[in-house]
Amino acid sequence: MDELTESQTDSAAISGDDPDEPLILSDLLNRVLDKGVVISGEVMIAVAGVDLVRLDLRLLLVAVERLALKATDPDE
Amino acid sequence: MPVHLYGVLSAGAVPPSSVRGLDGEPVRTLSVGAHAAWVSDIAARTLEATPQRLLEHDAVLRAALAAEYLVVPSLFGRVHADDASLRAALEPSAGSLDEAMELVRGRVEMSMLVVASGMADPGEHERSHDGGQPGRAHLERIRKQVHAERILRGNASALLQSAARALSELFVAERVVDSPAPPVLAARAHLVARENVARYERTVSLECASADPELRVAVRGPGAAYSFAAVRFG
Repeated sequence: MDELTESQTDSAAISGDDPDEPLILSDLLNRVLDKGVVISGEVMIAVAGVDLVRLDLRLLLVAVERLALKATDPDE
Repeated sequence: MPVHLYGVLSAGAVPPSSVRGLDGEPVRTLSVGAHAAWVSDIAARTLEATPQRLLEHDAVLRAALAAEYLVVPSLFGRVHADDASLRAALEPSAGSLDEAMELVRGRVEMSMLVVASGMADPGEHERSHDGGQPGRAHLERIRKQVHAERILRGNASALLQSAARALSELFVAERVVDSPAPPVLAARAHLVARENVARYERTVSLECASADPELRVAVRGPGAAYSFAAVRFG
């Protein structure tokens, strides 16, 4: 099993060279995106012109809201 | 002019001159009582979330952490009509901000993510089912994919649960990410003392070394404590 650390994966910008860029973006989507953002349609995460992840952010925002509720209930 | 909020810091925290915010705008400090909000101007109150902007938002907060400032991050997308509007929104929360700052003092967010170690070429399966009954083959393929993904997600969650037990002495708070965005199968975030970051990475590496070869674990961090002390409104 591979194990990656921040020093190997992190990047402040999309360079197109790192195969873990979808993972970095997924991590940000999971943690940084707030509800209330105006979203129209889908956001396509593309690296070097190749579409890697297609997300319906409306669904994701619902998930973020659920997460916020869950965080208030430690027994859940 | 509309402003985007990155986070709230202790008074006197000045953004490094090299730091740029969303769309390359300079980051500036807005004094809010005993705190300093880091903001940048944006063109309109409607802000579209793009991968680049998420990275830019996070980069500002990483710069704050690198300077060892005490920072309570804002989630992406907190836009206010102008400076006065943002002040008015933050000032009633001064007490909560103080508590949040105590929570993150000397601590950072680390996260463990699990992805599949190999991605099958979807076209390969398609080509192998060109003949015969394409409709039935297609449905069967979907059924198998859903089943395999469910098993993989379960294994990924179990792996992180086990790793979290081994990490229990190293974090003060944990959040299990519900329905993580693809390609991540499972994720957990932890609030960790800065001095424990290296131990955290080593422990995850050791705990996951003999796990399912179909899974790959990544450690992200240290980063801003979005999962535990993010500025929220409304």
